[in-house]
Amino acid sequence: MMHFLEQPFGWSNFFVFLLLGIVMLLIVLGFVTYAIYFERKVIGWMQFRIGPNRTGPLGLLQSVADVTKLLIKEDTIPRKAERQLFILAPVITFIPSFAAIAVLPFASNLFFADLDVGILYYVALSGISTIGIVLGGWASNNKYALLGGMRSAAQMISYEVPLVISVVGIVMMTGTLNLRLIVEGQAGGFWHWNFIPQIIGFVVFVIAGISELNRTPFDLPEAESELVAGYHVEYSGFRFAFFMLAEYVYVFAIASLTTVLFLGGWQSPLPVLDFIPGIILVPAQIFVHRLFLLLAARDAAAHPDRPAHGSRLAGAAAARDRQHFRQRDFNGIGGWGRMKGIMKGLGVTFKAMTAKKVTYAYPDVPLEMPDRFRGIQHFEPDKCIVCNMCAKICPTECITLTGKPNPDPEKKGKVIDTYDINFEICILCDLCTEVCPTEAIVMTNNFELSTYSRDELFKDMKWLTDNNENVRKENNSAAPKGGAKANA
Amino acid sequence: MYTNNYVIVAIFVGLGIFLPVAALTIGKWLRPSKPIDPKLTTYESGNEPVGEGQIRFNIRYYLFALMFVIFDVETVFLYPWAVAYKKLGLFALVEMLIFVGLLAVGLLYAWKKKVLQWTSI
Repeated sequence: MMHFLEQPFGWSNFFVFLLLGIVMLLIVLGFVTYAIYFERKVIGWMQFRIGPNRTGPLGLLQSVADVTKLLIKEDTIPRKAERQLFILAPVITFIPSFAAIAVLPFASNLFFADLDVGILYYVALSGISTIGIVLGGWASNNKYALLGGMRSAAQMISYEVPLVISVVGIVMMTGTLNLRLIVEGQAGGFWHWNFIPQIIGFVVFVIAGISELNRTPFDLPEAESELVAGYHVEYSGFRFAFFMLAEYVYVFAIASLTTVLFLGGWQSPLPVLDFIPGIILVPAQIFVHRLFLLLAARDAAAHPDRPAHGSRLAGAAAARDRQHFRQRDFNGIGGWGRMKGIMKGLGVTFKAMTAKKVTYAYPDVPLEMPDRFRGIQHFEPDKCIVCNMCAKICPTECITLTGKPNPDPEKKGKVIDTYDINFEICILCDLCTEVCPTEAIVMTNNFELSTYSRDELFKDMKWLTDNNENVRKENNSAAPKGGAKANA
Repeated sequence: MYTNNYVIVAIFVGLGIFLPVAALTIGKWLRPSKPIDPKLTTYESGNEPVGEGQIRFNIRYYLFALMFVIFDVETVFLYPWAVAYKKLGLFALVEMLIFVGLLAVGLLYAWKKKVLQWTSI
């Protein structure tokens, strides 16, 4: 990359840069797609749920489906909204988020713009997005949206200064604003990384960074519990998608920036590990950092509706914490108690991640019903002796059967010819199986009967015979239960 | 050439503009558009919107904005000093401490005046 940058400017170079830019755009879009998927999945794990698992293998195509849905969704602009500003706002939010990525270096020879004012450029651009959010809130002409937008501005004002000042220490140590040179200065093992001498700056930067991202627990602009969706309440379709996209691009940017500024960028943590190419280290760190962002942030938001024993406490603690934070609004973060809350919640989160889930992947994995469950009958024609008992005892008269003479002339009696159960009126009362002397009709644990037409509820012998999965083991049939016959 | 870096920045800004414009244009061809009256009303949790949306907001925001401008300008001054910190030496450090100290006094004053408290009015 240095090689291209040192050449005089020409069209061929321009196209190389353009190509790299497009590649980066695609990478970022891919990251956003899977960051959303991953986030939903992890939140699912935290809450003993499974998370998206229907669209594509393991639900991997869920975000793709969501984006497609947003693309073909009708776009409404409220009559009262300021049309031009309303349209402009998401674009203004998105542009700086992507432009800010231009200064982030990813390896010693892979970076885009090697600006000498790198940090300042990033900070300057990331502030612009807030204007887009405020604009969106204002242009919607909606009270919720306005509140969300104003909160976003107030929050940016509150945390922008700490974010910027927390980096000053690093600039003093390295004497440059160039992000690439800052990473070069951290070579030689993790004890040379900036987060050790600048530990206060690191903590402030991480907290202020989460706040810049408007993510929980700093999600005041969105605040779905009180402002519905905050500044984007009136947005739908792809205009909403761009607000979302900008947020996740900033997640990527802040995670990369933390890595570059404090965690040594592509410098390996131990000199022994020098053989690992930096291009792997940076994404790995971004990943770890992102996980932290997600866990620390989400857990503080721990919804009290988490369905489990252990998490009750942390959920309540975090809810109280959040309440506390909301009430104090911009007076301060809340100090040590808040950190303790986050740590406590993190513990619960990690525990819940590996715990057994309380939700089922229902149609893919059949629900395990207790064996006493009275489900749809299974019929075995070979066992039936056409005694008509089932049809007689049926209280709703939903069973109809006909017999025919045994085709084998040697044997007496009848064999079953047709056997139908009308599930429109069957009440699954279990009497037919109880009365059947040969267990020809037994119950299963299946219960799915819904169809699009009533005709399909009329099941014939073949269907009942094929319904042979999850057959109930213990049937209250005429099998001896005690008394004289039991010993026979 | 150093200009190349800004060419890249321009390209990133250009792509940043291109993506929303392209996506929204393509979306325009794909998505349905059947505006009916209820769809175009302002959302207010299912109620008829009461009054205007663009109300006047709390004076606090302006005070916060003022404080922000002061301290943002401070950071702008801090950065060039921080870059040249090793070359400038003790004199500039004292100068900077005086500057930050003056602002800190201002902050203390604002604190005392309960500017930092959201519910003081």
